[in-house]
Amino acid sequence: MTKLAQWLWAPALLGSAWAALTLGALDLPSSCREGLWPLPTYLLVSNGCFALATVGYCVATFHDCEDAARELQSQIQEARADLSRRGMRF
Amino acid sequence: MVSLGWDVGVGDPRSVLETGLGQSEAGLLSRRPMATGTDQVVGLGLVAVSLIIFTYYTAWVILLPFIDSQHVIHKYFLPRAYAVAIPLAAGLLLLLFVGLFITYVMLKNQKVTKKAQ
Repeated sequence: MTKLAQWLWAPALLGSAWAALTLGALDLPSSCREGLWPLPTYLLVSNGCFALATVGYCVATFHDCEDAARELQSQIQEARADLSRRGMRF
Repeated sequence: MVSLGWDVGVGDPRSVLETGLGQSEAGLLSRRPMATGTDQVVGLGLVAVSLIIFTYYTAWVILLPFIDSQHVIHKYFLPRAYAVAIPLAAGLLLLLFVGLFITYVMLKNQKVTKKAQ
């Protein structure tokens, strides 16, 4: 089965199960039903929170090389000066 | 072709690793490259915000139906319809901003090419 087929089947299965339960296929207690119907939105929001937390964690633990960055910047300046002296316009 | 005289040396990663691993007595963290100050603050702030949103939303959607409706904690949460309406509205706003940004960039590009002609 292709990846696209997998990605279409799994949400279709879960979505139809959710729709069936929300519209009353089984006799669920009302508190369960109250917690069930916002579930797709809940999964989306928690996925977004996870993505945000991953980005934040990676930003916080990124390995900066400040010396190398400064050296690179000075080399860029040197290169621009050299090239503009030889007639190239930026 | 005359060699232009500079070479790009971005700090050999092997040497950075060696200095990090070889200084275990001197304190590893002070020698290994780390994120700068504002990066750490912003990153940890993002993690904290996402944790807050996640716990509040989980309590709202999953825990609240099982708590007695006379309990005082229901005072701190909006009616359940907002649990779907607010993320939906936020998502639509996000799409709106993305669309506006794309429109702005495309118009700016068109103006630049028109001026260049």
